[in-house]
Amino acid sequence: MSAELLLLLGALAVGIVLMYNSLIAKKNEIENALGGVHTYLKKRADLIPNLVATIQQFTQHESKLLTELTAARTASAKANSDSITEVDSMMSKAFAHVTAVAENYPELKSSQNFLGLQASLNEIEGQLSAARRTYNAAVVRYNTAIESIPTVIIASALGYQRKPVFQVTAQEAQTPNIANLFGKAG
Amino acid sequence: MATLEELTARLRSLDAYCHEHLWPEVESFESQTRVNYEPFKRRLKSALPWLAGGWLWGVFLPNSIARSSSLPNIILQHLSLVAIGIGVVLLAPEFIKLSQQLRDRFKARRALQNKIKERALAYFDPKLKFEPQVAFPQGLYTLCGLFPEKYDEASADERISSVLGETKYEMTEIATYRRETRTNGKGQVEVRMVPVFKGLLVRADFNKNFGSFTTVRTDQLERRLGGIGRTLQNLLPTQGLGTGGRAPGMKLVELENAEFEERFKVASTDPIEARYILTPSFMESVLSVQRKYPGIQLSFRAGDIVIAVPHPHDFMNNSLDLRNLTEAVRKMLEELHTALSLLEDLKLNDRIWNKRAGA
Repeated sequence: MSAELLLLLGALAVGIVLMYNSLIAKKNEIENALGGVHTYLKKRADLIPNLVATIQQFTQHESKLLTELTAARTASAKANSDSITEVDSMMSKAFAHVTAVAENYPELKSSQNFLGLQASLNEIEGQLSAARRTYNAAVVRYNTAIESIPTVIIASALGYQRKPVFQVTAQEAQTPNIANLFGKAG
Repeated sequence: MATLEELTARLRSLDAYCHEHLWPEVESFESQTRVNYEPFKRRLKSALPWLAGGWLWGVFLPNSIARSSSLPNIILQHLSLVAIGIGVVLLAPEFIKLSQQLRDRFKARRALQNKIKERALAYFDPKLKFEPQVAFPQGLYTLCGLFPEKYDEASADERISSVLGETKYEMTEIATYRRETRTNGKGQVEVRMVPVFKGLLVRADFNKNFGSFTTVRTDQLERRLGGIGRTLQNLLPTQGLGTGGRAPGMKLVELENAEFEERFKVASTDPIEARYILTPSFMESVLSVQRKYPGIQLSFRAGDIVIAVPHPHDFMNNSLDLRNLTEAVRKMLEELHTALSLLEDLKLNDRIWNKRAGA
């Protein structure tokens, strides 16, 4: 075997190793980013018991909202990488409803407890949104890598598939309808 | 805690304030420090013949008289010096008195300018603290991570600190230079001071809590080279900020806003917190501020935002023109108002998160 051929094979092997490592790094980056999303989802779910207690203190007929919050918290505790998007969306909806409901209870809206919780919620929502964007950036990089030449060859061999990014559903993008929430007309 | 709207309203009623409070100060200064030139003029009249005569004698007369005179040349030549000497001796005491008066007036003028500046600033924002002379804020300059670590000369001019709405801030006018040595065509070594940064360094309390370190610096490489520039940035060493690299322990963070990405490079010790700070709306605010202040750079550390605003001229006009006082004060306060609007443009007073007013 000629020296040139050996050199070529060596360069090819180095190239394959580098591409493989880069794909692994991108895959791990997604897992790391997903960990971040999990952390903030948990942090947000931890607000629920306090929120439920505060709402109960000022309202009497919001059992639907309280059930929704409790269900979101239970789902969050069981969330895994497949269900995380769904849980996130469920909890975002529940919190959006809380904000909408508070509009109808001035005492609740102006209570120090609720204001504190709302500030914490805003903060965690911001952090969660940042974690989602970090996850999305990692997914975009990964998806681009597994579909680009020449990394697509190694990605196919490893069975790597496209991963979905976090997206706001049409329902989430809508402004919450307070009337529906209370089961009232108009 | 004054808001920007309140400061704007104070600017509107500035004329009346100047007329009522500042102009009397200037008038009193003018009457108290008026320089009396009369004794000097009178003495000049008596000294002038000696000075002029001595000079004319020295320039025109010696050669023609020297030939016909029996006096030695050395004496003839020194006669002009003697005449000039007499003139100087006559004039000197009044000249010294006059220069002392002018020096005193200059000092008093400088003190009055500072006093007027302080009073105008106190009118503008009663909580504002103005320090005309401060030490160079080396810690802030180095820790903000926006500039090359090496500089050869540094100066700081004045510092202003107060609270705007709920945002505590301080701004210092600074300048740093590095020494550049080069050999010219004649083989001579030339040393010149090249500015590293000249402008305002603003530190303000950021409206969100964070523990990471994030920098937003102008991106020359990506603007010129596009995607290749971005790849190069990732490969650049983690030291030597001056070369376009990033501080140790920091990673480049790629953000979704294409225009922002083209204009700035973001590096952070925590990519999630970097995105928590740089939300899509905040990136838009930074872009709109950047259109107003080209070359602006930001740094986020320990809950504070540091903004470096290049400003090639003296900020807030160091020497107020006392003859056009109202205009000079207006110009100074408008400059400060514009700098403060930066904090409002970045929406630092939106306090919907856990972090309240920075006290």
